[in-house]
Amino acid sequence: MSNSVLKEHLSKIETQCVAATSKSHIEELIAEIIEYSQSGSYSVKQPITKLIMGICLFILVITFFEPNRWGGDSFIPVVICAGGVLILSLLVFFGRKGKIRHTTDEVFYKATAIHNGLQQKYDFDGREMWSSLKNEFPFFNKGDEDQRISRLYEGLANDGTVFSLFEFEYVEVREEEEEDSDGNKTTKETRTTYHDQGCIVEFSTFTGITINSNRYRDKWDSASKSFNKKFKVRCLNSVEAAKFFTPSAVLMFEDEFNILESLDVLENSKACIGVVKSVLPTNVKTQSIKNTDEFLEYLRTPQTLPSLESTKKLIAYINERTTNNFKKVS
Amino acid sequence: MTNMEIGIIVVTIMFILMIIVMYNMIISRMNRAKRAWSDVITYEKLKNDVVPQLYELSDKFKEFEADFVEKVTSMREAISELNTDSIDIKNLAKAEEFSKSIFSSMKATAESYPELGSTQLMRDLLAQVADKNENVAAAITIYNRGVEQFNNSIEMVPLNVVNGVFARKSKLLCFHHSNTVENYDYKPNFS
Repeated sequence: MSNSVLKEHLSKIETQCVAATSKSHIEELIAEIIEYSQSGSYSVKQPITKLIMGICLFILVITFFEPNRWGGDSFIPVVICAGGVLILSLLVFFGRKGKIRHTTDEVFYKATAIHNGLQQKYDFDGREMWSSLKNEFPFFNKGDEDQRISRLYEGLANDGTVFSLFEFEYVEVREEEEEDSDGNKTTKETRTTYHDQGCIVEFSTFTGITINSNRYRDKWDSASKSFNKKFKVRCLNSVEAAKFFTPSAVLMFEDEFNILESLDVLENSKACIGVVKSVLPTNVKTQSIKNTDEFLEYLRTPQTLPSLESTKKLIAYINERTTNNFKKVS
Repeated sequence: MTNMEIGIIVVTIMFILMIIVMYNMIISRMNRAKRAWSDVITYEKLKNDVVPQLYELSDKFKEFEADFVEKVTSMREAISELNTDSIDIKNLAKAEEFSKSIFSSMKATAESYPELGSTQLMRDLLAQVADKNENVAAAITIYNRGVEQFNNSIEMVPLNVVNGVFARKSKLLCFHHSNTVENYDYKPNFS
């Protein structure tokens, strides 16, 4: 089958993937992939690109071994041209392969998300959302540029509470001064992209307590050294913190909720929970669609994300404890 | 002052600082174990809150075992003997034993007499007692972990040397429910 048919097929499954919200939609995707793979292959045929790459490589090798082969001053122009064309061909070659990988990875992630009860959102402005959240939670005061919410999912905790699971992307710019042997200083800029993940949730009555966040001044600690090492509790009122963190709650956080990295709660009970990376569906190890049987097997029975399950349990646990025991701090 | 003398002074100061740090580590772990113990006693004493309701329960409903009131009284007395200042595993074990016995008795009675089990008083009490038992059990777990960390610090090198010379603290005992170890056929041969 030609590359154009493959391109059309990829476009179709990309559209289906974005629109998928349930297991039946994944089944339709599976059917589409099976139908294509019966007569087509997921290898991009690029004979012309490969030929061009081969020729350029040959020219470069010859030029380096016999610099005067193409005539007097032609060494540098030949190397630049051949090298440039080779680089372009490589970009095209790997770019086309990358497109297949990107599309099929998204299918993988979507199947994982649906299996774990998450609905991916596409209709949001990542930059605007970040800007709005930054005003509420210091969690988002990171990075020097390109801050945005890059992925957004909606899910239900074990008690039915709705939460938004996000991936926050930002870039840190570092300037380093370098000095060469002549004493000339130059400034080198290094850009590093980071990703953090968390949930935004509205608790029923929980407020006045944060973990690994400096919103409040009063500190509280438990009798457990390992709890205190991992979770720095700050509160509006240490009595309320002591009421919430009973020994059973301390043990629960220590043993079951080690996915928690930070918890910041506003006075209206809206919270931002920082969690480990493995909570996101995009953290699963994807497989190449060239191993079609294994790929489809995964789509039928995707992986359950234990960290996400712990997060859902945490939200439900906090709601349960505060509904039974806690009074809202006024 | 020669370099050698300066070197000796620096090494001596570092050695003394190291001793101080290790000594403080032993003391802070001891204090943490004591604090964990205080939490155990605090939550154990909260069980006294339900004692009046337990008496009321046995007055109202004759289905309870004849010795139920005795068990409640014994539990109350055992709890009152507990002290946050001194670690007393034996008395805690006694209080826990009575508490466990009362909870089992309540559950058995509720199961045998469903109309009693469905009353609001009984349901509330079972929930309260279960909650308090859960918190005491968790506090005991935290205490045992604190004891382990403290015992490690006075038995492992080099902190055991600092303990032997300066702190001179003794090993603490972990808590376990009585009759649990004895009921197992297998007993590890810890030396």
